[in-house]
This record gives sequence, structure tokens and C-alpha cells, in this order.
Amino acid sequence: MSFFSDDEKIEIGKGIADLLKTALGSPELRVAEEVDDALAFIKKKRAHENWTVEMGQIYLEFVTENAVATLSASRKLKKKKVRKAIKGILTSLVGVVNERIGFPILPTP
Amino acid sequence: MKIKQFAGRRFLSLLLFSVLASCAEPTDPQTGALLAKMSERDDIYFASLIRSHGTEKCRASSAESRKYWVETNADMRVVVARISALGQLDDNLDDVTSLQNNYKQAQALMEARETSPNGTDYCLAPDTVANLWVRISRLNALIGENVTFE
Repeated sequence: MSFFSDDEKIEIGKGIADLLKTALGSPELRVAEEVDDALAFIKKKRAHENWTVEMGQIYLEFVTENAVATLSASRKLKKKKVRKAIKGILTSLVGVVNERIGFPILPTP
Repeated sequence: MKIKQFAGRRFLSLLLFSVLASCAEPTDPQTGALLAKMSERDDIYFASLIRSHGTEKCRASSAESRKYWVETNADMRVVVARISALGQLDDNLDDVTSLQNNYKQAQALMEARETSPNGTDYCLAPDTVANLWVRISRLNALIGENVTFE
């Protein structure tokens, strides 16, 4: 079960690549896929295992941190820059993410 | 004349050695060994969490969990301190900080589950544990790949 559509995932990958000033490639698409998996996972856990909002937020932080490390390693970029790019993308998606997941997992800017 | 040539060659050899040494991969066998030990402990602990699901042992507050987190957090502090101290491994500090954050988040998630159980289940589900385990293992392996510790 996917959280975003395939087109949306490509847009997320493109957004990350733009913020990093890199060409869109498999590392950016993999991050988009990981964020999608994480949000779908949290939604399922909230529905079936009563995950609290806090648990969802911790898990998303965990996945984001992990994705930052793998993307910065594969692109040889500073982690600070990569973290800023991924956080930037998530911030731009705050409305749609919170609406689809059904609770405020991302803080409203 | 021969002495001068010999001294010149020796100087060049030393210069070449210095240049090659400065280009070599950063090394710290102790940190590498510690990360490998942590990875082995992770495998044992996360597998035991999955096997013991539904019992007291899989809780964040169980004796097994407390021991694991005390040891892991202590080892992580040592790794961060060593890498911070050894300037040559500074590039790895970011990755190691991510690993440290991932451990903290995994522990926080376990504790949050125990504080807010799902009915009578005070533990993370096996698929959640596996998910955390795989990502932490991947990050640990990534740090090992980026730096030659031997």
C-alpha cells in the first residue's frame, strides 16, 4: 500500500534533487520511496496497532535520519545539506501528508 | 658524490612515503572493532525481541533491554569520542551521529510503546522491530564501508 502515487514520488525525488542541485537519480528516488514506505507504515500502525502521534513522529524521524545518511553517502554530500533538503520537501508536503495520514505527524510551519 | 645520491634517493623515498601515507584511508582498528561488536549485539538483541514478542522480555523496561541500551549507548559514546578525537576520521562523524540518533529513536519508540500499549501488548510488533534492525544494520555497514579501519 503506497502513500503517494508514482508521479508524486517522482516529484518528491525531483524536489530533493533540485534542493541539492544534483541530477535526479536513483538515490533521490530511493529517498522518496523510503519516505513513502514510512508514511504508509505509520498509517497502518496507527490504524491497527494504536500507534500514538508521538510514535509516528519518532519513527518518521528515524527513517529520515537513516535516509539522510544513505543519500549523503551515495552523493558524497554534507549531511547538513541533505537533511535540510529532505526536511524542506517534507515541509512543502505538510498539508497533504497530515491530511492523508489523518493526524499532525508533521509540524505546520 | 655517491653519498649525496644516496641521501637524495632516501629523501625522495621518504617524501613519497609521506605523500602516500597522507592519501591512505583513515584507520582506527579499535573503532572498527567496536562497531562490529555493536552490530553483533544488535543482531542478538533484535532477534530476541522478535522471538520473545508477547512476553515480558520484549518490553523496553525488561532487564535484557536495559542491559542492551546501557551497553549500546555507552559504546556509541566511545565511538563518537574516538572519531571526534581522531581528526583524520572527521568525515565519519556525521554518519556516526546519525547511527547514534537512530539508536536513540529506536529506544524512544520502544519506550513510547510501553507507555502507550496496544491493549495488553507493551512491545513493538515483530515487523516494526525488524524494520528498525534492518535500517540500523545498514547504517552500521555503511560506516564500515566508508572507512577502512584495518
